[in-house]
Amino acid sequence: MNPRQSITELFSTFAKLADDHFVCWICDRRLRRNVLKHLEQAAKSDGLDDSEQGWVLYWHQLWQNHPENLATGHLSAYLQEPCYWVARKMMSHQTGTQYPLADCFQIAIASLSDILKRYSPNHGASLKTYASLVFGNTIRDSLRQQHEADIRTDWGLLRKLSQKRLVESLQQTGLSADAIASYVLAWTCFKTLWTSGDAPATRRLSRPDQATWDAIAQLYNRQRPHQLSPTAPQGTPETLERWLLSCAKYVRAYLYPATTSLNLSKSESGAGELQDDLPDRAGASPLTDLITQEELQERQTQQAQINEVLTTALTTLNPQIQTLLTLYYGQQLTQQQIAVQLDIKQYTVSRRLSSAKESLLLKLAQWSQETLHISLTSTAVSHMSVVLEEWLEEKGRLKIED
Amino acid sequence: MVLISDTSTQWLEIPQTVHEQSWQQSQVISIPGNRLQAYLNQVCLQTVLPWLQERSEIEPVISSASSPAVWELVNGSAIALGTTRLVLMPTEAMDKSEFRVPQEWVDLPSWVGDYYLAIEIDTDEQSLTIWGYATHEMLKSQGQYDPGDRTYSLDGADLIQDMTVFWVMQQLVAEPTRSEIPALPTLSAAQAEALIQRVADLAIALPRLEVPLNRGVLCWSR
Repeated sequence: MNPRQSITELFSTFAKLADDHFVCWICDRRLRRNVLKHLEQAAKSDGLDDSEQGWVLYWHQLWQNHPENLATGHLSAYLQEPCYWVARKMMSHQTGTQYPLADCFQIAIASLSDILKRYSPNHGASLKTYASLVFGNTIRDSLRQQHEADIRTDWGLLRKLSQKRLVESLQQTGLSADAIASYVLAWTCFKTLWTSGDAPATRRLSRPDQATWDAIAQLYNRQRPHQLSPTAPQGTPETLERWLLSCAKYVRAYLYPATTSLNLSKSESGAGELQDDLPDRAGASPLTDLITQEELQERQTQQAQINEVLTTALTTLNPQIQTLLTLYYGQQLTQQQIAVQLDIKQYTVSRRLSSAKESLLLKLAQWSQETLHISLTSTAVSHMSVVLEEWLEEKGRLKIED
Repeated sequence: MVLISDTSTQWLEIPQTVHEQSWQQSQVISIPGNRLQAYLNQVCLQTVLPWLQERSEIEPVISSASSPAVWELVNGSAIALGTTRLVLMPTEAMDKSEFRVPQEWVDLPSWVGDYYLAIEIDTDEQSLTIWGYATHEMLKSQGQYDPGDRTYSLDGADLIQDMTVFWVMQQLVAEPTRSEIPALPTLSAAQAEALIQRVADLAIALPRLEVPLNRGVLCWSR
């Protein structure tokens, strides 16, 4: 993949992928036009931060205020690169079934709206870093779920779901709210009354026997008046079985989103038709959202301080742990590869890495409290954890370049 | 930059003896789904407890009624870590879309905890993972109450999914974790007895849902 150079490209082009490789960048004309307009406006104002980072913050802020405008498209274009690299890395670490790169990429980029919703620019870490973490987790979780779905019977799959996932799958197929409520109650009754009698394992869970179907129908009808609307139908063993099999089918369909119209322009945002935010809003001078050089400088000072705190904290870790961090973040080895290289158990690698991160995070948290007067809640510390992750990645990359 | 932090996801193996014992003890329960729920809670408690012992400087102590008879009714168990109360909430679900907590653990003053841990049990691989946590305050203020099964649920993405954060929090001055909850109405002995009779009927598959809300909650606490 050839990295994009200009601000215009960064915020208006999309990666075209073949099954397992990058083909080229494709420009979205409407996004391009919009970026050019904004650049022109910015050139007229003084003292604005027009760096990549500045524009990311600007589009994100615009997205927060007007999620329906083109900002989603610009940020989606921007995050193509990290998404591609994370998908690639996940591919190279995969064992067993191989999923095409393009599929992994699409699974990851589908989390865009969640990323934009939860990213908090005031806590130091860049959008790229935060998005990369989410992309990685999303791909890892989805691949595991797809694998489980592949090896499970319908009945075993139905046990392995959250209610929310079931409801989302049913919603995607366009069922009415009343129908969904009936299906969910059927599912609850099934889960209450059917599992293997021999062992807790459920992958190969068989179809319920007739006596169980009768009991499921009975429980459904007993709960029906309390849980469903008065017009909801009575359940028979036959209808309940049909519903549950449909549930399993819809859940599988939900796990394997169709890979059509991959990642071109705004299609993945799911926000429907996007509106040009200019010129309609030109009078509102959206550029006032762009952060100033002064703010940028403040951020840089803080980053330098954090770097100092963490560098000092790092030297207090024992040399063995430091080696581990270098292998993991610098050479980007997997925990498994490190385990082999150092001849220790993978569990040990994982435990040592997290305890190293724990002590660095503790230092960072304490420093933030003393210096920045941040009150230390779980949420605040979880933001710092992303900052730490970013720092460790950067540090690792620098070590390699040395 | 390529960030793939897999340091926060840890799978703990369920020891064979814990598995066998829990399975055996759950057999007293006749309804299959409730039996499995009792099993999940027992393996969860018996696997997480030694993990806490290994990780924490404070000795963890089981602090809830933990027997198949309770787990048949309500999912979850509690462990005290000094003055901090952890509520373990096992689930079979493999997706991390939501975190569902029975109302008893949120609204009953004597059951309330500080931290609620979301734990997936993989009964086929005989292992479990603590994939995130929430505070009582998060459940109470951001959680959706579902009258259908009397639970509070949070979107999975709203949980703190980085357990490193949890351990760091244990080393800092305690954060505010609990929302205020109103005291329960009083219930006469006769009323309580009547409710207990109603749920004691083992033929009822979903006994939690058979008694009125605040009374049912009160009833379990006895």
